[in-house]
Amino acid sequence: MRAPSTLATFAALVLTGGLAAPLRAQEPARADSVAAVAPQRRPRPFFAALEGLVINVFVNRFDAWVRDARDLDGVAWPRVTPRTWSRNLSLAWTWDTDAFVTNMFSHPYHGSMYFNAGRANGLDFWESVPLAFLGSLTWEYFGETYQPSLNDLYNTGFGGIVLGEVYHRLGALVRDNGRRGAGRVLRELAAFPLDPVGSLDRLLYGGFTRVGPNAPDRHPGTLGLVVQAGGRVAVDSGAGGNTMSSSFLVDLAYGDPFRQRYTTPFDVFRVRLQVSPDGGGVNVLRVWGRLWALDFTPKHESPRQILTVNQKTEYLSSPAYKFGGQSVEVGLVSGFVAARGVDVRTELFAEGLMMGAVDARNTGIPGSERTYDFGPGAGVVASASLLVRGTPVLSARWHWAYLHSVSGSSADHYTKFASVEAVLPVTPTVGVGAYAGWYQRRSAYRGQLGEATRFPEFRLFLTWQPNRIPASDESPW
Amino acid sequence: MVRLTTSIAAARRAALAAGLLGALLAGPAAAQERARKGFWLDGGTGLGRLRVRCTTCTGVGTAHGTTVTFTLGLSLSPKVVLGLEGQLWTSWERGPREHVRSLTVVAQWYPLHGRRFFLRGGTGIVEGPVASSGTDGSPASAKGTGVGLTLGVGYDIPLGSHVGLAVQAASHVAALGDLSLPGNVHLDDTIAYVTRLSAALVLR
Repeated sequence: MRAPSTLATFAALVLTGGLAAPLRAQEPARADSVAAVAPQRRPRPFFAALEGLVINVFVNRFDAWVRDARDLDGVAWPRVTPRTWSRNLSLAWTWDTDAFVTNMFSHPYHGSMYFNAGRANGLDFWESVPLAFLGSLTWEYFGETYQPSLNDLYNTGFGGIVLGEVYHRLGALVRDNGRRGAGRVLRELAAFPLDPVGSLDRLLYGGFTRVGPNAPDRHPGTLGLVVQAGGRVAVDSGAGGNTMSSSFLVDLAYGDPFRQRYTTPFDVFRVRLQVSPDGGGVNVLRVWGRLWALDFTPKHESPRQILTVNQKTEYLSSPAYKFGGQSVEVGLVSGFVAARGVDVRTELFAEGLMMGAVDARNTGIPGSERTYDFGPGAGVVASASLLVRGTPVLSARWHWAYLHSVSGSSADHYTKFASVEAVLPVTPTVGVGAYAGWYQRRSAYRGQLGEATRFPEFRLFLTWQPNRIPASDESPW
Repeated sequence: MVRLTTSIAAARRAALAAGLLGALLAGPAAAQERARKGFWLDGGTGLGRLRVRCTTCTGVGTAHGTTVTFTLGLSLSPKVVLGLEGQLWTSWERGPREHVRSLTVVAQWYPLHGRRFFLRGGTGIVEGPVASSGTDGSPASAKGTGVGLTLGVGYDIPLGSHVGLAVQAASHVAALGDLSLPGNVHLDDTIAYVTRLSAALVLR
């Protein structure tokens, strides 16, 4: 599947709409609320499915008539006809040859629109899941001349669920049904890139201007936001030298697993977005939200142990390496109060990689934009953070992943990511920090010599934390 | 792989007959019952068609066979259930040995008020020996292991307070990777998918 014209929109969204809300005074959330973020109304599944089809028709016609989109071979892929539909239906599934950014970054965003067609029409999280796949399926068969590709179905479907729910909740956070006038309009507009389908739905049905109460669980209760800006040094595998660039990072913590019992999927989620304008664009997009959790310990006890199931989408792209995938994690989130205002939090997860992608020397499809393999795999993620009054001053993360290639080269890839990040607070909201990361990959090819590579990365930055998650012994509000 | 001209119409007829039988057996008392509530399991059989495609293949290999499915699950809400589905497809055609086994985490959604019609989808692991046409006509099959995605629709027919019947049409798309056949024949980036029509007994 080719890239719908969503990249620029996506790049803008977190830096505009996503950041607009956290500075606002926090409202208490109803801890036991199971209501959807959107105002409650009768679910309309067929209308939601229809909106998914309308999205496909719109994107296809936009690409055909406005962009006159063509691939590297000059094929006008949006120019679909009944003949291409028939061929796609009669031929089996295949793998596409699109670039990493298209498959692992753009498609999840595209999928989020299908998912949010469900959320905007009153369906809950689980009820909206099939719509992400239905939208992707119909696009694959009827939206382009290419044969349907399995990697797109995975990335659009599963990635769309994660991003869709996150954007849906952030969109609801940005919007405020209680406001009027220019402030109201600006908020509605800021939410548009996050949740375009939801915004259009509100525009069509009057929600754009109607004044009324917000959904009771509109605000997660606690919201942490950290922005980093600085310089980055990474090893470039192609040129063999170092790449220096400016780098910006946003960490968003929506909800706190230690303050709120599990209510609904993604009642707690995390987003890390790193952009290096002159160093490969988006370097990191890691988004995960909890699908389910079971708290083993009372709320005010220390230490706390919470069994958690997460769904995650990950996109890592640097000059030296690329890694991404859709996964589900099962593990333990733990935390204890080390001293007054000082928390230690750890996470240990086993990861099932439903569809991952990794680049290596012999990977991909020769003669195409595909320079990486697709495949399922497994992994382990371990992390630990030391927080002083809600500010993460020292964090370490380790991620090991195995990927068995089913498209591209005949290979098994083993990757390791290790990183340490330290922040020295200068004022309650401003600090200076440093990051050191280490990526290591070993690839075993069938019938060929294996390969091992290591790529370090360093960052120095200023950090600004306008909103923080309170320490365990602090009142959240 | 042997290509047969046999239509899948036989499968459709069998599933339709099973559905009609279930509908006839379903009494008025069971009319408003949900077939899946709390913990449930279903087991059934049906007809399935395997299609195999790879980047080095010149065509799409097709074979027909039978499927056996077994699912164990629990209800998350009146509209959504989760389950673990095992499926085995076995070829009934002469030629290379082919079967596809999968273990899939599935979610099932009932979008309509009657809670009968459902959509089912999920992902999991898959393995099995398959063959494909268009390489060198080799009659052999090769085993692959990978990941699969299943998407389907179905209809629950409650037969009693704890028993029901489900008819289902589903596609299971499996990525098996690169396979090597005897004679240095390679099937690259192989995708095998099983389309099935089946009927299952539901117990809860």
